[in-house]
Amino acid sequence: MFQENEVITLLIGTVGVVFVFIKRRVLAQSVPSWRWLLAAYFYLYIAWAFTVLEGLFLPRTFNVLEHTAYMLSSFLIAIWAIKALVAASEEEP
Amino acid sequence: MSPVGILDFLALTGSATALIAVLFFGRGRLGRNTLTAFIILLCLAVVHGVLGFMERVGTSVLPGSVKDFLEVLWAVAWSLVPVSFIQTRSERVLRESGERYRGLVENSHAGISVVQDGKFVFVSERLAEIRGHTVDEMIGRSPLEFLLPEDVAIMERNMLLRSAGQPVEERYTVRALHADGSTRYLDIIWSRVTWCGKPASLGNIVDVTDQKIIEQALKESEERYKLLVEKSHAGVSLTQGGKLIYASPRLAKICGRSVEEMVGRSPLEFLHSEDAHLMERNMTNRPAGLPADDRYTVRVKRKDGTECYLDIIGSLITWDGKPTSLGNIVDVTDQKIIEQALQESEERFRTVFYANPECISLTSLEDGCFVDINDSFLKMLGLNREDAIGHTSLELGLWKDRHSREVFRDILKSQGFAESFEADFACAGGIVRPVLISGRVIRLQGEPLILAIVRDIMRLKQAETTVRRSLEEKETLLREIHHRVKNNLQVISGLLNLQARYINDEASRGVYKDSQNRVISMALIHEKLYQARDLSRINFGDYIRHLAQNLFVSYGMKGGKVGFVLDAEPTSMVVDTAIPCGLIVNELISNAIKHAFPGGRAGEIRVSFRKLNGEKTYELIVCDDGVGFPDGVDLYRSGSLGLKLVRILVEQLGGTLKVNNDGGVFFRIRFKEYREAGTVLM
Repeated sequence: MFQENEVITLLIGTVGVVFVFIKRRVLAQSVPSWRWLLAAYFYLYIAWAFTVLEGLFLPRTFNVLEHTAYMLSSFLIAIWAIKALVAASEEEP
Repeated sequence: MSPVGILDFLALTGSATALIAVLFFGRGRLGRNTLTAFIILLCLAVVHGVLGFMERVGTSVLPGSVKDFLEVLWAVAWSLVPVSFIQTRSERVLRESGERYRGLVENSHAGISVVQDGKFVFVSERLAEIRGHTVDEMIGRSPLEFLLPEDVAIMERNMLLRSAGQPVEERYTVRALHADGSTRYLDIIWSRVTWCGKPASLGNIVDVTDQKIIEQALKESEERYKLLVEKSHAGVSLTQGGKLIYASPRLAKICGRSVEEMVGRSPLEFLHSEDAHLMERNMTNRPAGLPADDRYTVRVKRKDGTECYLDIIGSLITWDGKPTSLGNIVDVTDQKIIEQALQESEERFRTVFYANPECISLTSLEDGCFVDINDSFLKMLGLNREDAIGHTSLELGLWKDRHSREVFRDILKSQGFAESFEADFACAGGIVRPVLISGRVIRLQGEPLILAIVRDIMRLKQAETTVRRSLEEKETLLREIHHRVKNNLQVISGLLNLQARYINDEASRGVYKDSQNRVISMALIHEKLYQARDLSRINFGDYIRHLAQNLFVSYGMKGGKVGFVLDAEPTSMVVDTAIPCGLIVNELISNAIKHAFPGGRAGEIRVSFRKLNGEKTYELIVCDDGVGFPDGVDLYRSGSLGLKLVRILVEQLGGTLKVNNDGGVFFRIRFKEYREAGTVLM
């Protein structure tokens, strides 16, 4: 049984993923350490997808996978934040 | 705690770490929008993690609907993050682009301006610098205000046409007045742009003053070179690929053609066929770097059929990137004609020198070495030219007497010439030949030389000896003749003397005596002649003295009361004049002795003989201080034989006779020598 907010979140995330796919070249040039941020985004989107899936089948497994994806996404964004800020500080005159 | 709770806790830790990092270090390093989005995102992530963790530990404080809303909000925040990144990047790109364009405009070598409605609305710093004004001074003013009055019309017309949308010259050069008063050349390229939504003209302005000055200098230089080439006495040609690509007007004039007739054709077409190969070889070899004549002379056929000689100096240059022959050409026809005439003249003089039968040599005045020597001289010396040239006459043993050579050289050095110098030369076959040398110091190419002409006078000498001997024989013979004539006259005188002894009549004996004295006067002349060195002349003063002595002895007056005074210069006289003159003297002295001093009267007979009028006229004076002629006697018409004889002889001499009978008798006779008088005696 899935919930409406989870589906809306997944839809919004899908829109975001499509946008990122279209603008991937621009974002790769604009965002420092873009790959880390992209990975964090990917795992977050996976988490949202597992959230929807756990409502349909294998609820325990997908729940664990969902939270694992959250955790990985959190770590990746932390790593990205640190790398991006360090890189920005190195570029300062 | 369940495994999921642990995972949520770890997720919360990561999100919190990221939030702390962004909060503390993100300001100034991330864009404003990105920073805000991240803070919201990470706050939501932390809240999400906290709520999830609390839910796992059983202490949930928010209703499930709020938690669901936060999750949606979290997703929205995540989706906005890339948008914020792109927006931030666009702003940065736009800012950087503006900065780049500003940098381009401000750093461009060209000044940039925008003119709208006839006024500057934008002026770059560079343009203001070019004009010598500030940007503020130019903004709002018409571009025409900054131009020279002469060029205002050009820009004004273009602005009008551009504003009317008509075709217009987009690029032109005008002169602008700089703020410092100088004139600057500005190259302007106009283009149509839209400025603040309205049509405007974008001008790119470059200061080309230096370029213009250089162009002007180049143009003047080109004109000068063109003037030099076209007005030069020498013609100029450029030959490329075997054809003339340039011919100066002077060259065309020299060749008797027009420039158009020559350019594009091979120069070989204009040459004499015999000279074409010479130029062809040079034209082929020079571009190939092979040996070629830098200077040579060829004959050119003019259009009118005449020929001229051209002196060509060729050199290799690069013209339009191709090897080209540059020719400097001078018409040397006149020079060639002179050269030919000189060659012919030299040939003539060479022939005259070498073939001259006289012996001629050229010798250095300084070292005495033969410089040249002709065939006759070599033949006389028995030498080859190679053996003689470069050696001195002393080395060749030419002079028999070395001292003569020194004397000859001294004469030449002091006078510059010597004529008929006699010397003896040792010639071929060991024969010593007497020669006459005439020499003159001349200068050839600045070197002092002796031009000597040597004449072999051996035959002349032999002839001279023969003539001298013959002359001596004739002189001897002539003296003998005079001697014999004198002897014969003396015999006649002696016969008259003997005959007179048989005559008792005193007067008749006197006639004999007179005749005897006349014969003696002539005999005396012949005696003087054969005694003299010159058989044709006698010393007449000496003759008068001897004649007077004879007369005084003959008439027995020697040592008497009558004295004799002779005033005579030692003057020589030809025999043809001396004989009648001697007879005159004889008659006058005889008359004086016989008649001037009767009765033992004492007195003096004076005879004077001298030359007058620059030694052309003789004057003979015979006078005495005796009793003179009786009154009534016409001395010029006297019938006496003596005076008659005197008058006749004076007439024969062509002379004048003056007689004076005052205190004695005075006779003065003036006459010219026989040859000058033009009369023939006896």
